[in-house]
Amino acid sequence: MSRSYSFKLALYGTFTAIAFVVAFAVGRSELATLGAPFGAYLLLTLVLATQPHPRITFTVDRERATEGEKVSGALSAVAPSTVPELELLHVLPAGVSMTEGANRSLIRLVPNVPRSLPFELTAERWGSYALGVALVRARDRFGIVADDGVLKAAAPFRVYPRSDRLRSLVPPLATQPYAGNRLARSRGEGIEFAEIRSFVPGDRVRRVNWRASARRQELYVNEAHPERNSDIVLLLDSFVDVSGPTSGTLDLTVRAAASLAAAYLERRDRVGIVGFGAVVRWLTPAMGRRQLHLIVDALLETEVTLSFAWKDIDVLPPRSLPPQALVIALSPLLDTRTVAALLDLRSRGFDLVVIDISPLPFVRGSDEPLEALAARLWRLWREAMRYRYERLGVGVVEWDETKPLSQVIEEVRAFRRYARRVSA
Amino acid sequence: MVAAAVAAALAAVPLIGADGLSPALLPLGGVGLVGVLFALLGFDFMLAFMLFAFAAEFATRQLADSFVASVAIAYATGLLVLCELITSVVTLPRAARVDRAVAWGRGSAVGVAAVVGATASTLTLVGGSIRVGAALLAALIGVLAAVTLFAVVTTRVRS
Repeated sequence: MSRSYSFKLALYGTFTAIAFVVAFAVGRSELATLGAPFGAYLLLTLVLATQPHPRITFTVDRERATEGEKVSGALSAVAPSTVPELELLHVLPAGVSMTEGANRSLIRLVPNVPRSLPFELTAERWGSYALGVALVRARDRFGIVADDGVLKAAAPFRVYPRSDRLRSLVPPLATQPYAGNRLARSRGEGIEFAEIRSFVPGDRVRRVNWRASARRQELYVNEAHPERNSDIVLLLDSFVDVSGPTSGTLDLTVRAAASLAAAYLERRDRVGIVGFGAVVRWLTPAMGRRQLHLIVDALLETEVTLSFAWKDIDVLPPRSLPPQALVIALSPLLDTRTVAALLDLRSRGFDLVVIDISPLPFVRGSDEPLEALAARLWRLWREAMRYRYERLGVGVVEWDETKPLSQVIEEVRAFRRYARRVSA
Repeated sequence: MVAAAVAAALAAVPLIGADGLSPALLPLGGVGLVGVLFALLGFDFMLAFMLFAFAAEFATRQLADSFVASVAIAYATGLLVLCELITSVVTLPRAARVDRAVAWGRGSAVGVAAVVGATASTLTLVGGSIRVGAALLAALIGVLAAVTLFAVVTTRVRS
């Protein structure tokens, strides 16, 4: 702890000296009586001041929470000697707020009696935080001497994005050869009946459809759709973030990605993510609960970094975009690099869906005629761009915070039911 | 409120019975009161203005027309108490959870300041009336006192 002195030390010392000098100069001892109390008080405080050795600990009841959840914890202090005043300022990162308790406390410590200051934190925004930073100041009883220190407990605290529970999902056009919960278009071993065909040598007897065989007087066998899984790649646009006071397009992107990843992984699909921005990051598709944790942890690190370097889809390793994968792009469609990359993906034959995270709710309107015209043109440009995607058979649905994500998924499903690719 | 009352008393005491000196004392008292106001608003350096203004007001009156000893002692003690009251209030963190024991501790510190101030000013007055026969001895005592004071402050601050 570093020691510092109150401005009173200099003030009282100077005043005492001046009072005594003036008293001696004019030969009047009564004037010295003005300075004497200050000098005596200063001496007393300096003699009685001791170096405190408080031990501060920080605890929280858990290291993980979802947005909006509350977490309890405590700052505890104990000291071998009396600390007349111990000031603790709990420094909270942006995104975490204190809902119960005070983040600034002034307490008195009695020797060897631990003192606990409970608090309750609310995780307001997803992210990876370090809690347990507190500024500590111990003052003597007269407020002259202060010992400052910083508590750096560095307790990791991860806030996972709030996710919607999705009942239906966008089905991929193609499935992969691994077992899963999706009906493949191909015929093979499975439960779901597909059709019947003539028996060929090698077919199992148990698959013979005896009723059809009896009617046609030749052997027919049942064919089924095998249950397969599919590869889903969530492409997150992190080139730009348009944000308001409470949330932004990046927040919505991360929340939607978390919801989609959880829902697809629950259906035994393989899910990967690609963070497409100034910093390109990816997670190759895999399945299972572990993958969900990896994805959510990766999402927490998502951030927008300003860059003007041109990036296209070639910067991604081939493994991050497996063939016949369904690519779900989550983007506000503001950066031309993302717009071009998505068109490139579609041209390469990827099954593509775009969830347009609408920046419109976060854009401030203006009454200025010129600005209003510019805003209108910008909206028209966005509509034209969406139309261009739709002509290529890419489902583009605009999503803002007022709509549930499941509604957006339904809109994409409806589009894909009837969409036909016109030309690449 | 207490600080304001003490400040008003400190500004008013030198004015009592100072008919001819009032034009000189009033501005000093006014500066002192303004200093108190600003110091209470959080401007630390105004405490110095306040202290020196009140001290100048008292010294002016004292040099022209001596107070009785008890008034001088009370005035000196009041100055110290006022400074301690203001710093106690100003250094109390806003929007913080403050222990009752801390509040009591600050109150008792002001009480200690009053006792120490009264004792020190009394001893100074008493010491001022002591006449040491030899000039050399008087100088020696003075130097010893000054060195002791300096040594205590230096060793405590450096440690």
